[in-house]
Amino acid sequence: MPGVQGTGVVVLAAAVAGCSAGLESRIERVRRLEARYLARQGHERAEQGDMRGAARAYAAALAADPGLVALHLHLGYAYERLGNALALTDPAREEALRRAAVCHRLAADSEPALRRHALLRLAGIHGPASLGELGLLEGDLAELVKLDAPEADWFLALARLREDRQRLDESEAALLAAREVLPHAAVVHRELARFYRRHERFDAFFAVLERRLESEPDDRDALHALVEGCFYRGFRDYRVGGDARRASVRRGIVAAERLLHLEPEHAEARRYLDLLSRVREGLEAGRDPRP
Amino acid sequence: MIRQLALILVWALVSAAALVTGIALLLPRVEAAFDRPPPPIPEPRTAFFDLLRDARPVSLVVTEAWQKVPIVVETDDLLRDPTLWNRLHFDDWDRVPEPLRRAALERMIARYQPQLAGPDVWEAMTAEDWDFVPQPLRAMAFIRISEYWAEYYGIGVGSGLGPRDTAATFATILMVESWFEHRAVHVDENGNRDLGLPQASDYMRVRLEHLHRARWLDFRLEERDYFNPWLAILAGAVWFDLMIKEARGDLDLAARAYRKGIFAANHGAAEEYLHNVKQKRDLYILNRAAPPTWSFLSRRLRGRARVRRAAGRPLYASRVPPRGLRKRIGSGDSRGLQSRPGPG
Repeated sequence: MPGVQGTGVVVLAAAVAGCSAGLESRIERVRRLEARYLARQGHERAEQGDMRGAARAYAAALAADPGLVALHLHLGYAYERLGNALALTDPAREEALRRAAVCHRLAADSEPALRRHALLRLAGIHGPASLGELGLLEGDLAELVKLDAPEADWFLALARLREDRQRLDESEAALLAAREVLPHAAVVHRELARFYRRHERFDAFFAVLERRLESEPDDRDALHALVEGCFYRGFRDYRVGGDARRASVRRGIVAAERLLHLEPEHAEARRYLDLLSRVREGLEAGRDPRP
Repeated sequence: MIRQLALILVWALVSAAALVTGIALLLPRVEAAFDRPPPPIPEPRTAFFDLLRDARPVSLVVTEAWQKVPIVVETDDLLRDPTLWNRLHFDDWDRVPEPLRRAALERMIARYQPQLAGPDVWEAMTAEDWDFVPQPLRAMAFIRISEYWAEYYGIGVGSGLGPRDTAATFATILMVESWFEHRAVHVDENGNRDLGLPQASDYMRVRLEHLHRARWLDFRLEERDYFNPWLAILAGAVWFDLMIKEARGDLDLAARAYRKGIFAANHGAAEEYLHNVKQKRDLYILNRAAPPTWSFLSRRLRGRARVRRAAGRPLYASRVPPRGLRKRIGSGDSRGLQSRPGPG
C-alpha cells in the first residue's frame, strides 16, 4: 500500500498548500466584504439622517479596508453634518469639523477624482471661522485655483484674503492671474479695477477699465466705474496736470454718454455727465471749477 | 485503518475545497449584493468671495462739487473704499444707518491713522496729501492743528484769556470761515481773495508779510502756503492773536474783528458772525449737541485732548519749535510773537 499512502500524502500536501496559499487572500477578501457591508450600512444610515451611525459605520469600513478611499469623503461629510448641527459655541462642533477636515484632506490626497470636491468641502469648513487663522482657507483656495477648471470666486476670495493681510502684491497677482485664466469674466475685471481704486492706483484702475471696454464696450459696470473715476480724477485730484485733467474729463463724458445710450434712465450717469460737462466748460473758459 | 483514515482526510479536504470554491464562486455575488450606490454628497456652492465681503446694496448721498448725488454702492465699498469716503461729507455720513456707519468710520480711522498721528506728520504733509484725507477726518485733524498752534503760541494767554476758550473759538472761526475746506477760495465783488482754512484775505496776507519784514513775525508764507493746513492754521492763529491784542483781551470782539476788522467789529454783520461762531463752538467744537458723525469722531479722535485739558496739562507734550518753523526763521526765538508787543 505504499502507492496509496504516497498518493494520499501528495493530495494532502497539495490540498494544504492550496488552501493555505488562498487563505490569506480569502481572509483579505472577506475583510473587504465586511468593509463593503459596513459601507453599505453607513450609506443607509446617512440616507436616514443618522450621521453618528453613518460615521461609525464608515470609520469601521475604512478600518477594515483602507482602500475604500471614497469613504473618506463620506465620513468627512458625516462629521461635517454632525458638527454643523451643533451650536457654534459647542466644543464638540469644533472637534467634529476638525475630523471632517482631516477626512476631506485624506480624500483630496488619495483620490484624484475627488480632489476638487474634497478641497471645496475643506475650504467650506475652514470658511469664515478660519479667517485670519494660519491661512488655512488661503492654502485651500491656492490649491483650488490650480485645478483644471478654476472659478473666478476662488481667485477673488484668495485675493481678498491676501489684501486683508496687507499682502497687496500677492493679492494683485491673484487678480491678474484670474484675468489671465478667465479673460471674459466681468466680475474679475470689476474686482481688479476696485482693487486699484481702493489703493488709489488710478493709472492701473483706468487701464483695467479700458481693457475691459475694448472687449466688452457695453459693460455697464465698467462704464459706470469709468465715469466716477474720471470725475474723481478730473475734479478732486490736484496732482493731475491740465492736459491730463482735460483728457480725464473728456473720457468721462464719452463714457457717461455711452452709458446713457445703453440705459437712458441711469440717474447717476446723467448726474455725472452734468458735473463733468460743467468741469469741462470751466476748463475751456480758463476757470478752475475746483475750490 | 490507515486507508480509512486517508479516505476520511481526502473527503475532508475535498469538502473543504468544495466549500472554499463555493464561497469563492459566491463571493462576487455576495459582494454585488453589498454594493449599493452611496447617497450623493452635494457639492458645496460656497461663494467664498461672498463670505469675505458684504455685497448688500446701500443707498448713499455723496457730495460732488457741492452737489448732493444719490448713489447705490455695495456695503463692502463703504467699508473699504477711500475714494468713496472722500466723497462723503459729515451730513452724508449722518444718513448712513448704524451700525454700518460706525463700522465704516472705524475702518476709515484705521486707514488714515498715520495722517492723524500728530504735529510731526502734519508738518510734513502737503495740500495734495490732505486732498486724499476724507473730509470728516480732515476736520478733526485741523481742529487738533489749531489747538496745537493756539497752545504753541499761547494765544490769548498774554491777554489773560484761558487757553481752552481761545483755542475753541479759534477752531470755530476756521470752521465758520471755510468749513474746514483747505482748498477754499472766496473771491468777493472787489476782487479780494480769501484763501484756505483761515480764509486769509489780501489784507491779512499783506499785513502778515509786513509784520515779518519788520521782524515782528518769525515766519513768512507764500500764497500757496495758505492751502497747506499746517501753515495756513499757523497764520490764522497768529492773526487771531493779533485780533485779541487789538481787542484788548475781549474774545468776542476779537472773533468779530477776525472777519470784519477791528473797526467794523461792532457792526450788525459782525454781531451775526459772532453769534454764528458761538453757536458752532457749542454745537461742534465743544461737541455738546453735534450730529452723530461729528459727535462720534470728536469723542473718538479728540478724547485725549479733552482729558489732558481737564487735567490742566498741555495737549502736546513736545514744546520744541516745529522743524519747518525753525527752518523758516533760521535761529532765535521761534516764539518771537510772544516776546513782542502786538502791532496794534
